[in-house]
Amino acid sequence: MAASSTVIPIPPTDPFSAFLVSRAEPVDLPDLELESEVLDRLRAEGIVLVVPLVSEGRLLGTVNLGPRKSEQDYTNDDRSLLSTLASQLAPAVRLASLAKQQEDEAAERERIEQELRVARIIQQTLLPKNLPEVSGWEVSAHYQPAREVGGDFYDVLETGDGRLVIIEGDVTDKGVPAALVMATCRAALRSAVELTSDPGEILSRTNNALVDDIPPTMFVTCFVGVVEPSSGRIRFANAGHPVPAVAGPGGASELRASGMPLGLIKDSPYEVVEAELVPDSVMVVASDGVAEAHGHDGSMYGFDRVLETVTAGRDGDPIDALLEDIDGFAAFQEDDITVVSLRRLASAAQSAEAFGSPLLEFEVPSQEGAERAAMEKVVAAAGELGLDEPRAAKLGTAVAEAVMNAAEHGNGFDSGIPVGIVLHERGDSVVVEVSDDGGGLDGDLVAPDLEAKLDGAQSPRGWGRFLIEKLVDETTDRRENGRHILEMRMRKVGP
Amino acid sequence: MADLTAEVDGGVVRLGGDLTGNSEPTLASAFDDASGSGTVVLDFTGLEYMNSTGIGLLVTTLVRAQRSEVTLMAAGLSDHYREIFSLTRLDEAIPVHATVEEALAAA
Repeated sequence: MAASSTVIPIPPTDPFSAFLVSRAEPVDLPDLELESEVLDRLRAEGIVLVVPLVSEGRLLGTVNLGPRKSEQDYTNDDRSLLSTLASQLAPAVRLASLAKQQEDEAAERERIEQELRVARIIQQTLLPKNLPEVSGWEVSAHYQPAREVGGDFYDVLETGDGRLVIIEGDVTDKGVPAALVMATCRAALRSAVELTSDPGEILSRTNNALVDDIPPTMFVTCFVGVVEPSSGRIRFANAGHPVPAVAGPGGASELRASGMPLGLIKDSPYEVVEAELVPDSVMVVASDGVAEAHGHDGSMYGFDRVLETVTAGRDGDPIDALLEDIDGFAAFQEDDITVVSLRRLASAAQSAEAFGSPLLEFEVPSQEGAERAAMEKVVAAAGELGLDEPRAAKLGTAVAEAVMNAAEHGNGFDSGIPVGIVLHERGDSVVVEVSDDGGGLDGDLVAPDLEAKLDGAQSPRGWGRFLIEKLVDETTDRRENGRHILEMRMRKVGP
Repeated sequence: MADLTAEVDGGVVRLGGDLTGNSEPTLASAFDDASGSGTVVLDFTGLEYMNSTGIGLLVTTLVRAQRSEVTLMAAGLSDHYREIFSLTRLDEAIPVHATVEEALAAA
């Protein structure tokens, strides 16, 4: 027998393949009449006998033989031996190829599992560990990854001027590529929030950063809401993310704003819409894993049901209500489920009702000594509103310090720019707002330390803001109509 | 608004009016006049107003006292300013007494 090492593939479309399966026994080539390219090639290689390896009706391969060395034809005994060999070889080859296939599949599964683990780690590392605490408000979030981790993320940030930024996004695609784009997007959003508190600008800056950085087939949907805790005013923009639902005492509403998903088209515009989160209302931002969950009958959960469930669950925890309802509805969890909720507490409602018109509103010039007059007016008004003498004195000193800071740091002692003082009664508290034309606090304030001051490591001054924080119950910085406002709240009765 | 007045009586400086950053010349010269005995008691009984720049000035005065090894004490603080001494921890560096007599007895 002549052995040849040439491998001649037999495509299943070649007629010779079907012929071999049908015969399933050694085939003499010289007498065979068949139009086949494979046959021509075999003959050209000098093959005279082909023994097919067939198992379960499938051609696994062939043993190809050249002419016998004795130059005699193959005998019937030869053929019978080869036939027996082939019939035993075929299942063994089939088994080996199945084993190989299973091994490959197991390795692929392990690779996918490994990738999922990496994706999960990236994602969970980047989600916020703690949410900011804002008096009168409650922020909650729930993130539930699907088995095949999607690209959901959320972030809740506090700006320097005391606003709350609620962000929720979803990267197309899954696994590690999605997790990496999510990391890029989160970083871009965070640096945009450092620069601006305009939700439209936050999104357009992030969009422009992403367009250059992510693969053209990928994009990110994202909602950004910027909330002013003192007024409940929310300004928001949306890059194609599901519409947030708001449930309040007056019923349900939707926070709709138009905009393209992030990462697709440079300089896409983002509409900015303003709304008010009234006391005792809750806003819920739910990723598409919620509205697009499929039920056992193939139907979709849908946005209307999100709105209904949030409205029904307004008094309790709307996130729990939503998760419970989806759990009962969906056949299984296909996609990540991310829900962020922001509730304005009802107690703030009563205070807001009592907010009314200011009891005292005046201006003082930005010059040294002006704070004394402001202090005396505030102490007198606070006394009339029922603050006891020590608390009124503390509030007075805090206001004096705030007026001094406003006159000096905010208005640069420009006597043409006044410092504004407004006093409200709000619930169980007296609230004083001091406004100036400055940019508010820049950066972190260094806490004054007496030892450092005595050693000359700190200036002997710099006590103002520290005292304010220590003297009143709560301070909030914010910007309004280009003015910086420091709000100081003092409860009428001490703890 | 009333400027700071400082009446020196031995080692006692009786303050009146407003203690602010602008009071530096008045307080500095009163401190110098009173520091001969090695102890200066600042009597705040007549004080009308003090702000954070006034606290800054007290820190400056305290630095001066420490350099010249003079003991600086405070007396006659109202409850309000007593609390501000405590918030700023000034009371840990400047012993606070209810009255000038108590301060002098402790000196």
